[in-house]
Formats: sequence, C-alpha cells, structure tokens
Amino acid sequence: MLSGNLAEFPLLRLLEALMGATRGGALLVQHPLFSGAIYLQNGYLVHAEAGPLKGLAAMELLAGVPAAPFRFEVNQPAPAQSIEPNLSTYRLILHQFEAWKEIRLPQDWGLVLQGCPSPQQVRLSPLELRVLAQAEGKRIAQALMNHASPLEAAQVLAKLLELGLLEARPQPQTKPEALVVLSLYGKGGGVAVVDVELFGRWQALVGGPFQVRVRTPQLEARLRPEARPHMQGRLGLFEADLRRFQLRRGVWVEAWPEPQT
Amino acid sequence: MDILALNEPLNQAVYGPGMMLVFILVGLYLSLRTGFVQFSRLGVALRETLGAIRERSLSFGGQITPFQAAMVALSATVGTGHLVGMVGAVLLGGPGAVLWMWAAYLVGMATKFAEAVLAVHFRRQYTDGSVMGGPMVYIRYGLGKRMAWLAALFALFTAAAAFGIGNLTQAGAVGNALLQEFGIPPAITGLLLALLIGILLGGGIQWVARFAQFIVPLKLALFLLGVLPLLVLHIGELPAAFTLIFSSALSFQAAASGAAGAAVALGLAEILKAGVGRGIFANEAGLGSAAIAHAQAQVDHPVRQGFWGLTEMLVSLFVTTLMALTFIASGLWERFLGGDRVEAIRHLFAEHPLGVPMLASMLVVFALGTMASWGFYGEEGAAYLFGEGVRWPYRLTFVAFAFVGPLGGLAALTAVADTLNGLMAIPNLIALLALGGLVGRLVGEFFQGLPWQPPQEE
Repeated sequence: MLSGNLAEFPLLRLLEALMGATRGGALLVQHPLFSGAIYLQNGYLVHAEAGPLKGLAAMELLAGVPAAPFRFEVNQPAPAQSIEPNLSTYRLILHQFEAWKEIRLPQDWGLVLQGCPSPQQVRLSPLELRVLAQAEGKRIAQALMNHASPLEAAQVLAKLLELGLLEARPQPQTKPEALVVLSLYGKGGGVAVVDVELFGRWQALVGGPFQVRVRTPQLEARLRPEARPHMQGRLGLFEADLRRFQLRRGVWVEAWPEPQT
Repeated sequence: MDILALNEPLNQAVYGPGMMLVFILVGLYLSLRTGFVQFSRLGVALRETLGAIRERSLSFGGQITPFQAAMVALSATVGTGHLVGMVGAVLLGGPGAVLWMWAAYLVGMATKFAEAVLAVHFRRQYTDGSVMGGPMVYIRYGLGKRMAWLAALFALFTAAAAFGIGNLTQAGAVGNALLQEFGIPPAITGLLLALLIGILLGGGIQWVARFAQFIVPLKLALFLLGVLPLLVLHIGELPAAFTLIFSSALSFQAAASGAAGAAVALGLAEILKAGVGRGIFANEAGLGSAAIAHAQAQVDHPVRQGFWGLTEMLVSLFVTTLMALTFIASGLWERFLGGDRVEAIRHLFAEHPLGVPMLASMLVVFALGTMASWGFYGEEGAAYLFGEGVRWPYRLTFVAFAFVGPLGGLAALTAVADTLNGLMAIPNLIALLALGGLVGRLVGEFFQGLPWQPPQEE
C-alpha cells in the first residue's frame, strides 16, 4: 500500500506517477479538518471528493493542500463519476496546481479568520465582500470549502489577508466548561441553551459564530447555541435531544465552543 | 373599646365558609387557566423537584437555590397546625373531614403553583443580588400603580401577622411543650428562642434558607419517627379508617360518643367547614406567604419554581394525611369528638414508645422552622412598606416577641394577628384572580420551550 504525507510527496507528482502506471483505486487524503479522495480508473481521474465538495471543485481544494497524510488503496471503485477522463480535464487540473503556487495562504488551514478594521478605505468587489462576510470566524479550510470554487476563494482570502482586512489566528484553546443538564420542554431540538454571560464569553473567544460541542461519557455532539438569562452553570437541552443523547436532568457534561462549520 | 370584641366577627369572617368558598373558587379558576397543571403536569413537577433533589445546592446564580426557597416555604407551612390542627379538624368534622381536606388540597395546589410562578415573574432584583418579591410585589407590578394600596395592605398584614402565627403562637407552643414534658422554665425557652431567631434573621435570607434546608428534613424525619410507630400499632384499623373517611364525608352520627359522652351528629356543613378549612389554612395556599420565599429563588423560568409549589403541597398533604390516618385508626377521635385537640393528641402520643416527650420534640422542631420563615416573611413585608432601613428594628422586635411568647399573656395580640393572617388572603386572591391568565400564558410558553420574558421595569 502506498502511503505518506503530501508535504513530502506533492499531490501533482503523486497523481502523475499513478496515472503513468495506469493504476486504478482511491487516493485518500486525511486532512485534519476534512477528508478527501481522488479516484482513478486505468490511470485516469474519474471522481474526487473533499469535504462537501465533489468533482473538479474537490480537485481544486485538494490541489492546494500543503500537507496531509495520504494512502492509496488499490482497486477501490469510484462511487460516482464526476470528472470527465480526457486531456482537457487534465490540463485544467494542471492549471489548478499552477494557480495554487501563486497564492500566499497560511500553510495551517486550521487557523481562524477574523475580520479587522481597515485603516484606510478599500474598494472591494462583490465577490470579495461575499467571501469576507462568509469567512468571518471560520477556519481557512472551512472558508475554502464554503465556496463553489475553493481556488477562487483562496485567491480572494489571500488578498484580504494581505490587505489586512482579515487576520488568521490560531484557534483559541477553550477549556471545557462543566455544566449541569437542565430539561427544556417543547418541540425544539439541536439547541444548547447556555447562560447569556457564558454565551458572550464563548463568542468573544471564538471571534464569531460558533457551535457548542457537548461531551458526555457516551458521546460527543455539536449543537446550535442559544443564550438565555439565569442559566448559570446549566446547559438547557430539549426533551428530544435528551432522549437522543440518553441524558437526563442533573447530569454533568462538558461543553465548549467551536467555530461554526 | 374591646379590641377582642371587634376582632371576633372579623376573625370569623376571614376564616368562615364564605371566605373558604372564595379560596376554592380561585383555586378552580387557576386550575382551569393552567390546564389543571396539578394533575396534567404532576409527573414533570415531580421530576423537576424531587427528581432533581441532588441539584439542591446548585443555584442559577441567585442568593438561594430553588430547593432552598421551597424549604423556606415548607418550613413555614409544615408547622404545629399539621399535628394539633389536623387532630382538631377530625374532632370538629369527624373522619369525613379528611376527604374534604384532600379535595381542598388538590384545588389549592393550583393556587400555590400560581403564587410561586407570579412571585418569580414579578420579583425585583437589585444590583447587590438581593431580591424583593411576593404578593405585594406582584400586586404592585402586576396590577399597576393604582393598586399600590392593595400591595401595601398585603405587606402590612404580613408584617403584623408574622408576630402572631409566626411568633407568639409558635413560641407559646414551644414554651408549653418544653415546660410540660421537660420542665424547662418558659423564660429560659424564650431566651433560647430569641437568641436562635435573632441569629437566623440577622444572617438574612441565606441563613434562613440554610436553616430551612436542615430543619425541614429533620421535621419530616421526626414526624415519621413519631407517627409511624403509632400507625404500626393500629395498622389493623387502617382499612376501617379509610372506609370511615369516605362513609362519613356527607354526614356522621354516633350514639353516646364524643368528649361529652353524648350522641353526636355532624351535618355536611360542619364536616365541610372542618375539612376544607384544614385543607386551605394548613398549607397556606392562597394566603400568599409562601410566595415571598419562592420569589427568592433564581431560576430560568417562573414555571420551574411553580413546580416546587406543587411539591410543597404534596409534602404538606402527606404529613396531614398521615397524621389524620394515625389519629382515626387509633380510635381516639370518637372519645374526644368535639373535645380538646391538645388532650387528644397527648393521649395519642402516650402510646408511642418514647411517650409524650416525642410529641413535645416534634412540636418544638415544627415551631422553630415556622418561626424562622415567618420572621423572614414579616421582615420582607415591613421592608416593602418602609424600606431597607426597617429590617433591623423589625428583627429586634420579632426577637423580643420570641422571648415573650413562651411566657404567655398576649392572647389579644395573638388573636388580632390571627385575623390579620387571614386577611392576607384578600389582596392575594384578588391578584391571583386578575393575573390567572398570565400564569396560564407562562405555563404555555414554558411547555413550548420558549424563554421567559420578564416584565418591563417601570
């Protein structure tokens, strides 16, 4: 089995080697923030997936991954065909790799993007404004995956970072908060209700929209946060979620914020 | 002018059948507005209170926990009336009175629930974390400025009544019990009572709450220790006692029975009055007193505290019922029918392995808890009327009364305070009637998972 890290074996060289040897199978890329796969059939690229992206959009993202463990699984059939196996497609993919070389984006795609006030007036295109709004509070990888063209998003993000309109900061280390589960009644679900003060603290820590990660001895779940007063030390969960997570009132759980995906 | 002569008709009116009917009607109205919360949401209420008992020390950031607030209320409610008063009700109305007492409790549960909900909804919270709440606050802010006089009236009745039901009556009971059973002079009892109550009230709501958290379980443990051996002694008569409760609910006739040894006939009116009266006044639902304690609890939603009101009623119902069953099963009720309730209960406890001193110990503990909580209620009433500066003068006066109580000799004052205690219900019931719709809305919102929206500050 062929395996390694893209930092040592650049993806383009790896693909050329596999294509040259007319291999079939799946090249699995295990980035810490998403998983990707490139499927080959008789040395031709036929399908690619990266996070929620598929086809050439997924290839665009994978082409820019600076480092991630990979492994090649022989004879793994493609679940679908999203890439036309022809020469013009190959040229397009080559162009993607070339374009990534020009983009100055931090190597660590786990960094969190945060908006900064601009010292001077800057004119931005509608696309740049859209990317700026969508990137706020997200990790670089998430900001790239949120866009239909990760390459285009990467170019815009790099410009915004250069202009100082965005800043890439390490993900703040949040200490899990020990909270006591409180039952909430009604038809709601997928919501973690926390005290207004804690909500504000978590929001400031993450620097933008966030979700709440809840950990119990049995499971971990991500929930939408909601702030309510007089909830100090409590985590309000609706009945449906209590049943789903096999929790009940009075149980201690750990909860912490994460940037919204 | 004879103050007692003036007081007597007023006292009869506030504790009379007319007023009882008002209590029941308001309870039924609140039951309707809340979708009979005491039945339809009983499971939730138990899960939220007794089911969450291990969270008793966890607050929502307030001065005292919801559990502690309920304990302060229970500490006041479960007093000597649950023992001697219950025996008295059976002696006045026969065993059938118990059935009507149960009915009154079931209706009163909605009243107590509504009081706790409104107390939290309308309470005022200050920057130092202290809270002012209770019927005077929900009357003032729920009914508006023009009803401020009614709120003041409630506060006045509470501040004054606390000296009677919450002080002289209880201190007198403690003094008598300790003198008769242990030979402790009333002056010593008074001194000890004054010291203890002074320390507790001096520590504010936190100390009163901590004491209540300790004394209520002690009350229940002592009660079980006192009553269960007697119940076991008469266990064979228990089915007959149940039968009697149902068979004599409408009328009762006994030949050559009662304290006078003559034939006794009780009509429905007498049975109802004794039973419903106990079912209303033993648990304080409608008087509004417990709401002052519930207002202190910090919770995310008023309805959650309302559940403690329901549970409080169940605990009170459990104590009165067990007391009544034990007394009826003992058969002593026939001998003492229409007679002296204190004599009757002393005879009952004479059969206890620990004897009458067991009853004395129970009375002392029951009275102590009631005094501490009522001292707080009265102080809150006075503070509402005259501001924060009145707290220490009120506390010191309360302490002085606690010293005088065991010595006796203040019958007129106790009688007037008893009437004022009954009068507390009038402003409170008016407010409950007016704000019943709001309670219903809050219940609806709570069960839809909506957050609580406190009223806008004036």
